[in-house]
Amino acid sequence: MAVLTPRPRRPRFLREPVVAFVYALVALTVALLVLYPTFTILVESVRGPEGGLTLARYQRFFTSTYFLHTLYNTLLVSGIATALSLVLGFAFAYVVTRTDLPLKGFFTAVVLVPMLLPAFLIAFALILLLGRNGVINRALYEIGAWLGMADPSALQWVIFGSHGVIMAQTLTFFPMAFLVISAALAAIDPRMEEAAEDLGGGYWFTMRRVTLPLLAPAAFSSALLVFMFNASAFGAPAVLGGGRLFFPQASMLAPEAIIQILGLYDWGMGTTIAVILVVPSLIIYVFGEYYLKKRSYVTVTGTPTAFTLRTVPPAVKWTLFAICLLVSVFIISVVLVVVAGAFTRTWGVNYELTWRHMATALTASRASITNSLLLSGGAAAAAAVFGILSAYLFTRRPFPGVRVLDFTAMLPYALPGVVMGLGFAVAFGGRWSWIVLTGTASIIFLNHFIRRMPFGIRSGSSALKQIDPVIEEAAADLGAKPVYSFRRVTFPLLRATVLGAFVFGFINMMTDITAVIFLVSPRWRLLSIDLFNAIDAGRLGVAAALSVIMIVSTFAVLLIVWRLSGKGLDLLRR
Amino acid sequence: MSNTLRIDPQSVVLERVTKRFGTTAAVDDVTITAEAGMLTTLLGPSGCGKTTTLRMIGGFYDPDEGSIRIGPKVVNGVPPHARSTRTVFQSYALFPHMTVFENVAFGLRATRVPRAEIPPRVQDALALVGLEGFAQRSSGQLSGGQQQRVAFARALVTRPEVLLLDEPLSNLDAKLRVHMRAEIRSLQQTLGITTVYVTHDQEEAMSLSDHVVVMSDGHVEQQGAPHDIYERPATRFVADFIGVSNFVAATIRTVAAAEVTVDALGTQLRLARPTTHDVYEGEAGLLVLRPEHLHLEEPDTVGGVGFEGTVASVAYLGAAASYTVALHGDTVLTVEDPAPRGAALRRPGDRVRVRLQVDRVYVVPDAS
Repeated sequence: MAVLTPRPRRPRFLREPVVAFVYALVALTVALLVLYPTFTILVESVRGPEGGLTLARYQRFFTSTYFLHTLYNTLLVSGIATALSLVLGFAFAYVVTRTDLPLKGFFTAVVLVPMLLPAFLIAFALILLLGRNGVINRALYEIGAWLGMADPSALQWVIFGSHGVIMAQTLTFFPMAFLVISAALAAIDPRMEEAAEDLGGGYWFTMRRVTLPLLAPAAFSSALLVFMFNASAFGAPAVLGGGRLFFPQASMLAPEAIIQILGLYDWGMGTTIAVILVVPSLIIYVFGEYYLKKRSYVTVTGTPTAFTLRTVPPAVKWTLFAICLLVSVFIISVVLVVVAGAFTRTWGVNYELTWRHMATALTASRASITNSLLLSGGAAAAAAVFGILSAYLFTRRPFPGVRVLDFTAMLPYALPGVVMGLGFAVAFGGRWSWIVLTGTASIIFLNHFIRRMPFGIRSGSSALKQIDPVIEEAAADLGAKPVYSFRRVTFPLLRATVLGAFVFGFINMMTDITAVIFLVSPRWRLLSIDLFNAIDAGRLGVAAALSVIMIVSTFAVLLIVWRLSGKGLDLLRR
Repeated sequence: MSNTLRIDPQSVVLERVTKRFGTTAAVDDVTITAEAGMLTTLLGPSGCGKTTTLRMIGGFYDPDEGSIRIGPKVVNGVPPHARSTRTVFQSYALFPHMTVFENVAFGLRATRVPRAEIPPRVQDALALVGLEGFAQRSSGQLSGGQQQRVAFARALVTRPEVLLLDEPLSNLDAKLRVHMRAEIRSLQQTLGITTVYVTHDQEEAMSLSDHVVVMSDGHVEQQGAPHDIYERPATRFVADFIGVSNFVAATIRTVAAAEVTVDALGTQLRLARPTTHDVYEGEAGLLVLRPEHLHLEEPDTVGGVGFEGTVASVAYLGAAASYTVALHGDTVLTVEDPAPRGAALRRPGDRVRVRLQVDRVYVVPDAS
């Protein structure tokens, strides 16, 4: 019997035509919807007025006081909001994972609420509470007047300014810090802390020398993440910032990019600011992905369980409890005040009950509401399925170079909304007359889709890590071809993950404005943009009514999926 | 035997198969034949390449060199789903989102067996493993032993030509393991299915197999019937890995057609000539002395071949007692005393004579 000579073998993924086809599709999608728009932004920012390349705009940015102040405002506001988010995130996480305090379930649920709301909705609610006509400030004014003060408005604490932006952004983004830190805390083996105390370490000693060091990588990576979101935030600065930031003459980076494009039609400067936003985001993303992950002490696997550390001093416990309770009450009042605003004749002046705003909202924005639901729903479903399919290929049918494809496909997660929206506007907007999609529904759909695909990929690959590959080997062993095996074994096992990615993507799209603000057209308006315009125009009643519609529709979808998957809110905590 | 499970067994032949991961060869130039209808065990310590070999037969790895044949067909490059092999995985790998019925039916559905045939075949397969009435259970509601039975039914229902078992008993407790061992053997024999069985448990291998392949470091140390492997080990590794052995240095003096004489323990012994390897005059060898072939006697007993020594330790095990005896020089022998009486146990320090059953002594090459 002659020994069979080994024949040169093609990589496995090429021997399966379906796999090769889907790979080609992923590569094409990523090239067209990620690389091409990013590339056009870069080119626009250095394109000279009469052709040729120029760095003049970057020079202008870094020499002009105005633009530098914009940068400083962004850094200061984001830095402070990030620090506060970490503190709040840790407080909630510690209460939930380490203490036996009451209301833990309530806190866990409330923390998720800001994630379901548009970023600027909290800013808007702050106006209803603490604006010049806000409930609280009105009450303070009345008290001042009753006390006979010469200027009763001196008692008021008006929310406009840096403090307002910081407050809104903290409330919006601290849930992210909470999710990362609580997962890390839950994954730290409680025996470590118990061992430290057993060896004679007191509570604070253990906290300082054991708990916090173990937590450091997770805390650091969540800080980077939160900072990134803060730095590229648009909603709160636009609503609350106006001329009252640390450097009052300037705005912040993301709103400034939008002003440059939509206000001044200066595409060159707008894209330049976008690139300036991209660079730190990318650095932070790469650093977090490839450096911190390797250093992390905790691997989140299985079902992390909370435990009660018996030795938490009561003073610490109850201080944290007070913080959590206060923040939770505030979050709930945000929702309540918006609902109240929707049915109130004139906020701050006339609290008569009315359906007028709701009626206006439902008629004037009917098309926007349908558009938002259909485009978000469709794109979220596509992104979830396609993302998870990609994750399957990347992890189960890898080929040399798969990491590059994975990295590129994940980029929209790291790139700020402003950048992705502006990139689409430049790439598909006629300035590069190649593919022109401006004014169509598809430009919104594709933008939604590509920005949410990373969620699908990320949650898909972490879910696949939980599925023993031997399950799929068993399917192949029993005669199932790859497609059959994916359809009947892998995909059903990923059902909850697909639903989770869908819900998360859907909510994000419903509430997004920073990207789509460049992409909407008179023909294709969106609910979130209508809402933003209403706030901007000071039509608070209609804005509140639109907010209620948005909240109700997202919660309705959430509830439906909850019923479908039987997993409930847990599916947001990947 | 139920008629839906008729099986057409095929032999599996691996010829000079090598599999590398990076630069290390997990399986290095291995040639194995698993005869049709027989149970062949791949036995060895972890990392010896036995599971890699099994996975190459199942199609999960392709060999880098050499050929694998199932029956007359060379299957190199044939993906798992197109092979007539079925695996029972170590973790069983039941599909968690399916019932017992759906798990067993999976292979039939995946290979497009006519719909009407499926329920009776699944029922037959479940009956075969004693799980009638479990069809609608979800796989999470089963005990470890039941899960394993489902895994067997799932593999057998498709009438494979070859059954591959990857340490199927390692997740069961000791009692159940012995019980399932007997069941697997009787199932295999009634079906007459070619079976390749991977294990690191030598007792399992000895009790189950028609043919044992002892592997170490990616190559085959020895293959043969269980009694061959035990009584005529080809290498020190085999003698050491299977059962308990005393090794005593020896020098080969003369080699005749059926006999060798060796110098060992200060005397000359006439032994049967090894059949597993060549021996040469003047070569160094090791005597393999199994504890059950050594017998303790009073120190001044005459007759046979024996050596005086001192009892160093005693371990009473109920069914047997195990002694270590220090001979003069630095030789220490483990001796087994079957059916010991507590009152008659020897104590450390007692002088004894260790008698050799010379006809059961085997010589292996001294690799050092």
